[in-house]
Amino acid sequence: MSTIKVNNLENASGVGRYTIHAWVCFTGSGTVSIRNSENISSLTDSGTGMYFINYSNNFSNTNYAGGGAVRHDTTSNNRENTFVNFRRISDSIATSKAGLSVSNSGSPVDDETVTFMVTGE
Amino acid sequence: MASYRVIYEEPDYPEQPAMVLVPSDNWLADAMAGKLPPISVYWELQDDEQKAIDEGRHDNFEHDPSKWEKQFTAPRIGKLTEEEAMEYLVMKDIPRRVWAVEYNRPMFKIIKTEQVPSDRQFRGAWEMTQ
Repeated sequence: MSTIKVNNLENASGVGRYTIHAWVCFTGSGTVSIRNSENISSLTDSGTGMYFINYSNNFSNTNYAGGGAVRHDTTSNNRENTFVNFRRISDSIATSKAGLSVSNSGSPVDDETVTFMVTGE
Repeated sequence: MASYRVIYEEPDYPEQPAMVLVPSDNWLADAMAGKLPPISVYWELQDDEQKAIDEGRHDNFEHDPSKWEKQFTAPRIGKLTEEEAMEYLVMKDIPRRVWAVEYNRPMFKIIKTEQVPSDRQFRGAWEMTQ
């Protein structure tokens, strides 16, 4: 397998293409485990519905973006009002890690499937 | 699937439940294939960022590019065993105050995956057994 190394990626029309810095899909209930990921070295389970994702390679700055989705369990549809968000508190966002919180109507919950991806520089 | 987990407590936040660090299988594979830079590369970045936090300038923080690029350009350290990779991961992803400072009891343990309870009831009150 060969590796392509470039600083800028564009399509044939010169429109910039941007890549995901890291992503993860993990089991957030029972025994927490990472199902699949890229550029994630580990996940920290820090309480009900509370996690940190730790990046294999750091971002160059703290101004990055992310988003995700959750599924509560394997027998019901996604619960309405259940979200996974950045924890924008204290030092929860750093170039090396991000704090995530999974909540339903404002209360932290453990969901069967949690996905999150982040992008930036 | 990773054979180990790390359980630890935060000495600066004693009210928080015990944390469980779950390694990524992809990262472990890279570690065991010899693709990691020296741990000092990450420590240097952590030190710069912590200084910015301490000085109240973490918003809009940006790494020195020459230090940041070392993640990709520094010579690789060679192949690690899974146990060595877990020790590396402790030093990379767990705050230094947890593992580099001596307390009157251990603040972290590397444990087998099956030792982590699968019943998450009272997850907000988990403590590390001594």
